[in-house]
Amino acid sequence: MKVVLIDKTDLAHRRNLCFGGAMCDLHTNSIGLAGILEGLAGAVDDEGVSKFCMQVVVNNDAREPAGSPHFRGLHHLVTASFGNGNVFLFDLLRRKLSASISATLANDSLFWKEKLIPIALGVLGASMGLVPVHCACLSWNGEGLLVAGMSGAGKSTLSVALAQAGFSYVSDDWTYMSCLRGAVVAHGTSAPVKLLPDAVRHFGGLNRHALRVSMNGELAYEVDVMQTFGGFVERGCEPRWLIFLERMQQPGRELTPMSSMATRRYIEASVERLPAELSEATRLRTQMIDNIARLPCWSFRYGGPPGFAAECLREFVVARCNQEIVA
Amino acid sequence: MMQETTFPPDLLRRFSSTPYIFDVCFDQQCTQIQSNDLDIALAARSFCRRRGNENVPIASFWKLIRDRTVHGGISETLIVVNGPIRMLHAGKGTVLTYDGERSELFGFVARDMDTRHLVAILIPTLIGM
Repeated sequence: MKVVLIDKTDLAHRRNLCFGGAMCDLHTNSIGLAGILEGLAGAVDDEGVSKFCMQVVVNNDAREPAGSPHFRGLHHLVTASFGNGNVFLFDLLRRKLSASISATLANDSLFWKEKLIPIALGVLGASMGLVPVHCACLSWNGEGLLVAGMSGAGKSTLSVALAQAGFSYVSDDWTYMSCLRGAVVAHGTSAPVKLLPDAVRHFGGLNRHALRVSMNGELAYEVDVMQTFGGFVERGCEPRWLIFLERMQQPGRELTPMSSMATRRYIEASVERLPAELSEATRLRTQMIDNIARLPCWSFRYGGPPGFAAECLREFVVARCNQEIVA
Repeated sequence: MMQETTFPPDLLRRFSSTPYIFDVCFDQQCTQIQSNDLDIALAARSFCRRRGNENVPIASFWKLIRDRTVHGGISETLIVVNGPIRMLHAGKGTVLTYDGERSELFGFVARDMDTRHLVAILIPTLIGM
């Protein structure tokens, strides 16, 4: 039986970091891990209300790489393991993540970028007023366009096409919403964009990359947007519009306004159920969902290549921005 | 029309039903045990009674889920302690957590984990540390 005692005073490397709009107070015994997380973090914003603590003990003699993920949770405690030697415990009441991991995992920057940081925000977010919403986010001169839709609707493909059409890329799958000075702010985590194998038909540059098995078991390309497609990446923006994406068989497009009730239903369906013990987290989340549901919302149905859809949405956003300037 | 979204599945198994509920009371102190597995619930009740008779403090709320979908396999048991929070990890499928401040014990138990080993060895080790 192996016992790991996590004592903050033994974790010499401390950093104040920011992930997806949440402040992270990191304590670890590994300078390598501190460096990796520092490289992935955005600019620290002390005004952010979302804060959590991450205490990670790295066992320097352990070499176990990331194994298959296993998650469980009861009440305020959630566990995640990636093999027997890499375990994480999320405490939603104390907003704290404790972990004991191998040196190999500590130095696996892709693991932190693609898996652990998004997972930490997804699990702890609810307790910090940070709501993960299943949507992509693009920014046009700082004005945010959220693109929601069922899995398989083509959010990621459209995100890349929008990035190629001049939008800045924020996120393609999960966007983390928080409230700052009374305004909703959408955050990405710099996680790579995930594209299914058929996306190679639209984006030739994908040929240079290998398909990988992603965390949900799907075979996909997981690539860095800026490196693969060029364009710009932003950490966050203020969302102004929400689009519900739907594909149709025949070529064309339909853009019709939707009610805030539909927005609310969609968000509530994509967030995780919380146990009764986390009533404060539920209250914070409901407040955030209210704020997001107030965004102007449209249903966008299209048939044709993603570049066509991106052009339609670019026209839509430019027209909205111009209308506001005139008004 | 847009396809109707469905309520998300309970991926963490947070809302597993626990039809076996026992209350064990000694003097003014009561412990509630909840489980989806009668063997586990009975073994936990016996353990709490013994501990109560010996005046040894125990967690006041237990929730233990037999995770029938997960085979634990053989691996070293790992315990992580961070202040009042402790986690015990024994193979893939058995994970116990204990919140000493709130006196709450939670756990998922792999389908091949022996109930006696769970109650006689793993839980006392975790709580007693």
